[in-house]
This record gives sequence, C-alpha cells and structure tokens, in this order.
Amino acid sequence: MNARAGWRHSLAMYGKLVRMSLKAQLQYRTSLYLSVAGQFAISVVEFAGMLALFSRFGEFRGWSLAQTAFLYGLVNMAFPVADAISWGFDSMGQLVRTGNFDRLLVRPLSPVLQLFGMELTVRRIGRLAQGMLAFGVACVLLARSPDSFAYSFADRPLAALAAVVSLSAGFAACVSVFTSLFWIRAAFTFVTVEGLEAVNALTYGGQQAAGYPLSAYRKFLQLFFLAAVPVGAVIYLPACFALGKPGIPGLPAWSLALGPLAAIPFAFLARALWSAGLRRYASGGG
Amino acid sequence: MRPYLAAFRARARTVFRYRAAAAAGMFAQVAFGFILVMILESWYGSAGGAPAPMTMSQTAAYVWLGQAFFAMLPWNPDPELRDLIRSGEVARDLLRPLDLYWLWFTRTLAWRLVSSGLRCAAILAFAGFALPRLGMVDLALPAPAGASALACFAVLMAMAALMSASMTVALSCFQFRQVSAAGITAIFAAIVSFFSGLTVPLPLLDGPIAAVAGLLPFRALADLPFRFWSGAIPVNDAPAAFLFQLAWLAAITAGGRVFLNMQLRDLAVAGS
Amino acid sequence: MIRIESLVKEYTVSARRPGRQSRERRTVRALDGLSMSVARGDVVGFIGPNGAGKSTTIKILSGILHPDGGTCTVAGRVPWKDRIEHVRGIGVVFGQRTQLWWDLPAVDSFELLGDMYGVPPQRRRETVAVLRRELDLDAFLDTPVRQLSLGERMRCELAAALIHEPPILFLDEPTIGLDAPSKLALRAFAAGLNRERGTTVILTTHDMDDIEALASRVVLIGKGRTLFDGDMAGLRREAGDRKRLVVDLARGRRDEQAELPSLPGLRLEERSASRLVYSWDASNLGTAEVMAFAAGRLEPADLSVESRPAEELVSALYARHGV
Repeated sequence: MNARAGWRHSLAMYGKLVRMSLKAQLQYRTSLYLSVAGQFAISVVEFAGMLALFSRFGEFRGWSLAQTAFLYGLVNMAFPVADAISWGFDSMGQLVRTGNFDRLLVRPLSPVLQLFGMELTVRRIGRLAQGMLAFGVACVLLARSPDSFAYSFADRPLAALAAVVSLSAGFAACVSVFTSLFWIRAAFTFVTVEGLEAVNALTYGGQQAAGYPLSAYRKFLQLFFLAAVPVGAVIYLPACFALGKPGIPGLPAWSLALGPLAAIPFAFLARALWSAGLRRYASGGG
Repeated sequence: MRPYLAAFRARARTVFRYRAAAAAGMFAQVAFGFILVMILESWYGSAGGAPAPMTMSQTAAYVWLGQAFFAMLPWNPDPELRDLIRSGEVARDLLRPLDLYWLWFTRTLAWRLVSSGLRCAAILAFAGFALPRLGMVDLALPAPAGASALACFAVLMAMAALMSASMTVALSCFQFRQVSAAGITAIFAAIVSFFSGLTVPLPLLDGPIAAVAGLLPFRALADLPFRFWSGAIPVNDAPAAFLFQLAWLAAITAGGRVFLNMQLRDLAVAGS
Repeated sequence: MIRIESLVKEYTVSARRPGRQSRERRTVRALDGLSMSVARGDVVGFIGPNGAGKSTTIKILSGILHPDGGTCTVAGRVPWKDRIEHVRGIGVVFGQRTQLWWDLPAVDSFELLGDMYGVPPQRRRETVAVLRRELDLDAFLDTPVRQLSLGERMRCELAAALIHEPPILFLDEPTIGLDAPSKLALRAFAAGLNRERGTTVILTTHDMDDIEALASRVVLIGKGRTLFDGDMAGLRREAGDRKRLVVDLARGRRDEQAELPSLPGLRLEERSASRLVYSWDASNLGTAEVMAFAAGRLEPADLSVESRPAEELVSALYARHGV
C-alpha cells in the first residue's frame, strides 16, 4: 500500500469508526439528551455568572465584556471539540488496566487512530454550546462597536486578514494543544494508571485559565501557559493582536499573530511521549 | 449502630488505598485554586463598578476552602455504590438485616470525609502557610476571623458533610436507571459546582441567579460555611444557617429514602 | 509457519510492601529461552500453570510484546517489526476481552472489521454467511453485544477474528467460563476450521478437554521453557500413565485370596463390599492381561477400564517439573 492510499484508508477508517461510535451513543438517547440539555442550561447559568461579574466590576483588567467573551468563547469552543475527539485517550487508563488495549494492537490500524475513532462524544455539544453562546454574544457586541478591533478591512486590509487567519489558526491550534494534553495523559497510562488526575490541572485548568486574558495571572503562570503548555500562546496572543492589546510587552504586534505556531512543537512532544509509552508497553514494563 | 460503624470504617480504609489519586487530585486542586484566585484578584483590581460584598482576602479564603473541600461536594455518585448497582450485587446488601439507606449513607459519608480529609490538610497548609512565604500574601488563605468563626465553620462543615452524603446517595440511586444515569450525573455535577459557589463565589453574583442560588440547598455545602471562616457572615447569623442546613438535610434524607425504596421496588418487580 | 528460537522475555515488577516507603523492584523471567516450531495446519495446545509464559508467548506471536532476546517468525515475518502487515494474517481471540463494539449488534462489528482488514464487501458477506451458519449466530446477530450471554458472545468473538480469513488463529483461553454446550460448539468449530481450511490454530488453555478434543500437539510450558512437546499419548507416557480397572462384583461368596493382584506391577487400590479397584502402569502391563486376570479369577458383574483423568495427569507433570 503506498503512502497516499494509506492515508486515504486511514481517513476512511476514521470516518467509519466515528459512525460506529455515534450509533453506539444513540443507544442511550435519554442519557444523551439529558446531558446535552443539562449542560446547555448550566452553560447559560455560568455565562450569566460572568455577566454578573461584569456588571459588578465594569471591566476585566482593561478588557471589555465583549473582548473577554470573545476570548472565553473561542477557548470554550475549542476545549469541548478537543475533549469530544479525544475521548478514546481519556479511556486509556481503563483499556490498559483491563488489557483491552491489546485488542487494538492486533488490528491492522494505528492504535492512535483507533483511539481517536473510539468515540466522538456527542455529549460535549452541551459544553460547546456554552462557548458558542459566549462567542455569539461577543460577536454581536463587537459588531456594535467596530473600533474594538485593532484593524478594519477598510483601513488595513492586510492586517485585518492576518488577524482573521491568526484567530482561525489559533482556534485549531487550541484544539490541538488540548488534544495533545489528552494524548500526553494517555501516554502516562502506560507508566501508571494512578494519579492521572494531576493532568486535569493542565486540561481543565488550562481551559479555565485560557478563557480569561493571560494578563490576569502572575508572571510564572503566564509564562507557564505561554511556553510550557501553550494554551495561552495559541489563542490569547492572536486575540491580543486582533483586539489591539499589548499581549507580551516589548514584542512587536505582528509577532503576536504567530502564537498558534506554538501548537506544533507541543504536538510533537505529545507524540514523542506517546511513542515512548507505547515502546514501554510493548516491552512489558507496565 | 455497630454494623454501620463497621461499614464506615471499611469504606474509609478502601479510600486510603488510593493515596496516589488523592495526591494527584491535590495537585490539580492547587492549580485550579491558583487560576481562580488570580482571576478574582484581577476582577478586584479592575476599575469601577459597585463595591464588592467581600474583601479580596475573604474571597481568597472562599476560593481555597472550595478547593480544599472539593472532594466533599456531592458532584459524583459513589463509585462503589455505582458498581454495586450495575453488577447487580446490590442483592447481597439487601440480604443484610440493616436499613439499606443508612448503610449506604454511612459508607458514602466515610468515602467523602476520608477522601476530602486526605486532600484538605495539604491544600490548606499550602494556601495558608506556603503562599505568604512565596510572596503571594494577597492570594493566600487568611486565618479564620476568630475562634468563634472557626467553631461556626466547623459545625457548618460537619452539617455540609452530612448533606453531601445524603445528596450523593440520592444521586447514586439514579444508577438504577442505567439509560439516564450518565446524563443526570453530568447535570448534577454542573449544578453542584456552580450553585455551591465553586465556579464563582456566590456573593459576587446578583440579580435573578443570586436569588436562585440563595434558595437552593447547594450553597449550604460550601458557600455558607466558607463565609463564616472569613467573617464575611457574622457569627450571630450562625443559628439561621444551621437551621437552613438542618431543614434541607431532613428533606433530602427523607426524599432519598423514598427514592431508594422506589428503585428497590422496581428492582423486585423486574425480578433481577 | 511459526518458528520460535530461544525467546527471552523479562518483566520488571515493582511492588510496594505495606508500611514501607520504597518500592521493591525485581525482574521476573517470563520466557527463558523458549524454542519450538509449528507447521502449517497444526493445532497446538499450550498448557502450563498460571504465570508459566503461555500468554506472554501469544502476545509476542501476535505482535503486542517485544521480546528481550531470541527470535521468532510467523509466516516469514517478525511480528513486532512489521506489526500492521503481520496482524493482517492472524486472528486473535482473547477469552476475557472483547473485540466487539459493546453497545452495537455484532453484525456491525463484523462490517467494520472487514473494512479495517480491507476485505471487499462481497467477500465479507460470503464469509459472514458461512460463519453465521457454522457458528449458529442467526438468533442473536442483531442484538447489542452487551446483552449477549458469554457463550453467544464468544461465538461472535470467534467470527469477528475470522472475518479476514486468517491462515493462523490464536485462541487465548477461549473456553474460560463457558457452559458445556458452548465449549463443545467452540471446539467442534475450531476443529472443523482446521480440517476444512487448513487453518493453523494455537490455543492456550487450562481445560485439558480442550486439548484432547482439538490439539494434535501439546506443548507444556513451565518457567518460561518448553517442558514437553508431543502428542497426548506421549504426554500420558511422560506423566507415567497409570490405568485403573474398576470391578463391580456380583453378590455372593467371595474368594479373598483370589482377589489379590497376582500380576507384576498390578496394585489393588480399593476393596469394598461390592467393588474392587486395581491400577497399573500402562507402559509395563497390557490392558488385555489385566482383563484376563479379572475375568479368570473374579466373578465380575461389570468391568470398566479408566485412563487417568487429564487434569490429574498435568498436575502430576507440573509437580514433577516443580512448576
């Protein structure tokens, strides 16, 4: 099989695996509808909580409600997407403990692809709705006050285009960073199935942290989310570029648009850890 | 009484076996606490708006106590009960000459108390002693507002533990309905974490959500006791808070028993 | 088909002693120079006590584990070097795990697995049709797998492992927990598969009936080595095959003197009011001679010759080899 046919086969298999998982999830319709509806309701409440804080404090470190909700919405859309596609990684602990991971290895398909295809979690739509709600409100508010954006297509088309591209790439990069985190967590299950909760600090913690402007945090935490686990770098910096915020003082504005690139080395790191874990598993060190 | 104590001790011992999980949970909780307390510090540092009903220091106390006692909140069903119900081994518990509700209540209480006990000491020590020494006095957990404030906090937390156990048993009973269990658990987790004040400190809210939060029992699990610790509620108001908890505890326990018996009756009819 | 040469596999196990801080690490040798080969069309049964290395061997042969030493090839390929190509040619059934999508009918899993192995849909439909008939799957093929009984599920597992018509089939404790009819059905099916399609079958089990019903060859693994490799008769000889004669006596007078075993090597094991039991080593004394003795000197109402139960046989062998 040549490389291209291999890719096409992999992609087709991913599609089929996802279809299976959707079919399986529809077996528990009541539970599914309840989760989605419930999650959506609670999303509205949480967003209302944010509105309440804005009405009390007026602004957030110089960011208006519209601007903050814009960032918050992007992150809270990216996280559930990543969470939904990487549910298989989430269940690695159980797969390794019960020995069911072996059955993935006796099939002629990459185990990573099989894990990705294990479940596309529909339940996360409820969470996604929260991000969409915030993002939608932000877009409406921002449309009413066009000067919230640093560049307009009329005045500086190139910069405005760069902002759009950077933000779109930032969204994808944000999904990628969260997915990498789930992947890293899965790699750890080859070493230990205990104590994985610690990685939640990075996944759920990262979601929470990146939903607000990074300038909210003390230096060490900012640095952490810019360089170590770049959930901040990939989405906060493009948002700063688009909204005309300083981002990282001292850096030229255009460089902020490059933030999404940080997702690439992080994905490689995740892949390297996973391969190391898989080698360890195959050598029976588990 | 003795068999219930034995059930309590047995469940407590099993929790100790998961020390690594507790350590990992602690790490995660500290990270969440850091993020949340810095976000709130930023709100407080922002210009304008109405004056906040709590000082930043009181808010920091609120956040760190929330992280420390997170494991005590009824945000998930007791995994042991869940497995018992799913595997059908619940039948074995029915053979014991004990009241099933109180048996489960004690076991769940043991699980909640021990797993939060394992975590809270370290988190409180970190937030209370380490943070000021790391130069983050503003973010640290302040000492209780006084001996009587601490006493009120302790009593209300004990009541919160009982309430949490009764809510957890009720939540676990939904596991009998396998088709909707996961959905209900997810909703419940979200409701508990918001309306107990873990997402946003409840005093900072206003308008209709604040009104709803005030009526629901979940604030008695965290928000109420936490505010006594920092003196955000004067000690004089403690009896009212206690009665609020007591009323809800009675209601949830009674409701939970009825609910459990309903599930068991359905089980008997289904013949499994 | 399969060639294994001095395979070595070590595990590091770390155990925390209660009350101690440090973890204790030690190395366990699961395979210690295991060698053997399997020809095309063989049915080989691996037996051995728990922890002997049976599952480790299957895991290495199916490409899941990498060995620490030695070599092995399956159909000319080194399993762990080219895992994906290798697994196309094998079918694996793990007795306690499932291949199937839990919440969906087995037929959906078959379709997906067919696609995964690149089986053309027409070919898959034909294979599934045959498997449905032979494994008698029709009654529950459209039921979600989680609602199947263990016996039904194992039949589906077997079918799932065969969708791509692999020339080699690994069965890792396939009959564990099954009821008697399911065991029989599973054995009959595997035997037929070998007979009609020439599928090579490697089987690990603790149930000696599986071996007797299926395997043309038994390999006893202990302490990570091959302790015995041959047929069932050979295994009996190796273990010291004692046979037993049970004589049910007619009512009436008995000649106690005549009942004493007068042949060399014959032992009287039991004597009661209505029954006598003799035993002897089958390699030294023929059954016919013993029968002649019994018919000549006793007044039997009924005679029956029993071989030593296979379970007892292997237990004796395990004990002899100290495994």
